[in-house]
Amino acid sequence: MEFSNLPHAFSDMLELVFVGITIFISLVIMVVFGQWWQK
Amino acid sequence: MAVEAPTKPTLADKIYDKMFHNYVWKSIFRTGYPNTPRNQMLVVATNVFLHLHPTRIHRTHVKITHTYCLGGLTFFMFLGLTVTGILLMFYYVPDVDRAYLDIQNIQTTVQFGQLMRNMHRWMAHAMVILVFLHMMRVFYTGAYKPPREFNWVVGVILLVLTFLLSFTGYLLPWDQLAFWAITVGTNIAGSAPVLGPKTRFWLLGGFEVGPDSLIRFYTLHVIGLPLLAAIFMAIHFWRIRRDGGLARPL
Repeated sequence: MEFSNLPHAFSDMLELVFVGITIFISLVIMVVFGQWWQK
Repeated sequence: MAVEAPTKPTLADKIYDKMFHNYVWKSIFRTGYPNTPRNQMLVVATNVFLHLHPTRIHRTHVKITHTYCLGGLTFFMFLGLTVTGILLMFYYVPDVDRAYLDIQNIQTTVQFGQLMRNMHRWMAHAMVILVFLHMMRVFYTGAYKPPREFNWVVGVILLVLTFLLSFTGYLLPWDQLAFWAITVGTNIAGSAPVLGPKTRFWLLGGFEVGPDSLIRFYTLHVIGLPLLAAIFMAIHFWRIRRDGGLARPL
């Protein structure tokens, strides 16, 4: 495994990780906004 | 005191009775016109636009395990798909010479393009899964039963719209997978009796997958179906409150 090629070797996993984090963060932002809105 | 002879119902009376005094009508319009102070107060107290949250809820509804918020998560996926979809529309042109190259462009050169495309893809998968889980939850808790039967019908329409959104989005990358998946899919539609061939022709805009199919699927995917879904979602959410909130154990 070449170091320069490392991101590509894990691209599928990285894709899921980044997508998962972004979906979760946007959900958290919406929930926090909802909490603030209801105060 | 003279007693009036009962009048025979006229044809208009019979039609009125058939139209408004049946199970289907009553499942859609459950309460009549609020003509008593008590009814009128109820209308104000349960109005979704005046009180976004119900004025009172049952104890069982506080626990997340009651619904797992599956419908809400599905709606969240729809919102996410709308946002990422609009961003993808900035770079995607539904033309047979450009579509595939535009996808490559989004994947390689557009800032956060790959993330946006992946988000759109995974949120679409998640929406189908969540919509199915939501349906199972509603089924297993008996929340489809009266007085919520009309909302179940609306939900089934939304399920079909979700599948159609997935299906129409599949062609847009315009690669081999998309081409043959839609060829197979529309052939299945074409095998339906009587209306099958017409439906296939209407979907494809021809006898095989081509430029007309791409623009049709694109238009349905970005405006037609989302608009319909949004309208039905509005009815679906409003209807939850109209039918007395979440279903609860008896």
